[in-house]
Amino acid sequence: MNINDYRETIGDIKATESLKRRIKNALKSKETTKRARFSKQVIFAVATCLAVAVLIPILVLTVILPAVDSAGSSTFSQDVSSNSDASGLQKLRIYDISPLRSATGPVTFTAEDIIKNKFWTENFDIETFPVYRKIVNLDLEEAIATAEKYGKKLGITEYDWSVYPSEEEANSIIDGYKSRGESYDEESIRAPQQVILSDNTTYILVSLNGYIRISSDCLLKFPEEFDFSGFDAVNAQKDAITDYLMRHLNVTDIQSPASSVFNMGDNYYSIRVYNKDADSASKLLEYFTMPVRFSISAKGELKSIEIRDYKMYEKLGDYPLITLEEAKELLLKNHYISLSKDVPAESSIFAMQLYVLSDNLVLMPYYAFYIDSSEFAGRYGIYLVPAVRSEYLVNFPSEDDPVHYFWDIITAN
Amino acid sequence: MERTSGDHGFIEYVVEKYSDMVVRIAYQNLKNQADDEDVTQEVFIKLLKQPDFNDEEHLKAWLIRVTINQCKDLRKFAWFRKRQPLDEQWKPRGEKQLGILDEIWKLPKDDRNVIYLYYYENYTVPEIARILGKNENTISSRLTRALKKLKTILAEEGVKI
Repeated sequence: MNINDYRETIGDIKATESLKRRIKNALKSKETTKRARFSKQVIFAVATCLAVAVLIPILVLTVILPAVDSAGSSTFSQDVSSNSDASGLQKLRIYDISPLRSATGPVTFTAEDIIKNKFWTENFDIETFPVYRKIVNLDLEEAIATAEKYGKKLGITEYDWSVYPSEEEANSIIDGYKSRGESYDEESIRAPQQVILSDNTTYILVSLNGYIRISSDCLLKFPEEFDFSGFDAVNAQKDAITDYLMRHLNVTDIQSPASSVFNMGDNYYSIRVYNKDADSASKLLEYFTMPVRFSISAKGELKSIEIRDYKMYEKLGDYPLITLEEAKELLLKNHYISLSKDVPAESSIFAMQLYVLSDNLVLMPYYAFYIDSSEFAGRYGIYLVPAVRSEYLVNFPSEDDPVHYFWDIITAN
Repeated sequence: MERTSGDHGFIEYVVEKYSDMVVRIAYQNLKNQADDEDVTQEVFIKLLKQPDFNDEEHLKAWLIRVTINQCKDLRKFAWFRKRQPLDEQWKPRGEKQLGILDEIWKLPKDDRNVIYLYYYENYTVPEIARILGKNENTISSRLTRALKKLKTILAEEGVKI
């Protein structure tokens, strides 16, 4: 037996179509049952939300703002310190990844992943880069208003509401933690996370963190002249596809749309749309924060639209960046964060990219280097060097402790 | 990668993309088509109750972990243990699987999962360690041990690995 025989044999084991149908029907049936139960809960949730609306600004001041002044104490990944210099820029804190070592995430990419998914590798001459911090989540009422706004844009006039998680769902999640003997935060599990507007065909989800997802079996069918048979075909038509989307859907106010294509695997393509007239830094920021993303199947059916509410971030300032050459020097001195174990060498650098890490709190620029993996032939590990100058950072990776394990590096995808 | 319990497109996408993987893992753990299909359905129902994922890799790792745990849970049930031996009950999906999978099934369950994640899903040892919640050295030893056992088994049968 060789590995190829093994892979071929295992690859032949597949879920039958009847099993897939059975699962989809079971899941849809569970959803229908839940929606019927949700209506009373939503009325209660909205009433509660209105009742506490006055308290929300106070909570923002007392809960969110102190996190800024207590560098290192926040549970969030990236943070800002109260320390600042004459420029008034607060010092930034790089992701402390140590608590996440038990989690999982991507560590290597193929050359094709890197080449096809790259947005921008050539322009490294940006001197400053805007850093943003998320300031507040939507409240339930705002989330409902947002969902209604998109429902109206799509012509949905009659719909049902639901809130996730319901009490039953929260109980079920908690039971799961209990059965596995794991610790959990009951309050955060029970807190509303999403509202869902649905006419039983189209689902509009609004997360309280500003993420919006609109999905359906087919939101829009492309005419036959569009070819979705492969990445290259889709990529070649991306301008025409974007133009068609903009003309037929009123979900974004991007005035000069440009797009990039991602192959999502299994005959799905995602078209990420951003503003082509924006300056380089804004364009890159928009790209990684994903203002709008359309997912289209190989049959030319638009399956979902994802939108991020960019207005929920406040600008901390324009931070001076190191150059690519300086970043490379730091990389070769082992000042980086990565999950990969290989020690990077000049000759092992496959590609470079300016990168924005978009977690839920602070959006910070990094230089990403893709390095040959000795552990995994034909794949490349990603190494991130913070692009903000070290005087604006409080925990830059040091030579004494060079390897900071890091996992959540492609949240933008 | 955010999703919702009411996210129809998400369900379609995830079932289409990952049901094969879940079936493969369950099948290698349980050796029984009916059981692996039940496990697969149960895994996706659990997915409905799960909050958002950070990205697709996070989702995939969650599916792998839950599938393996679900298979372990199933094996704990008395009725499952009391049934006739799996080897007698197992029906191969095809002749080709019979030879190779027979060898794989001679390995301990945990080793089978490591072999699968390493050679089929192309995860690295550190990634497998994180997915399974084990020490990297443990995974590395299991991988080495599994390959050694496979070599022994196959050498006895005159096959080279």
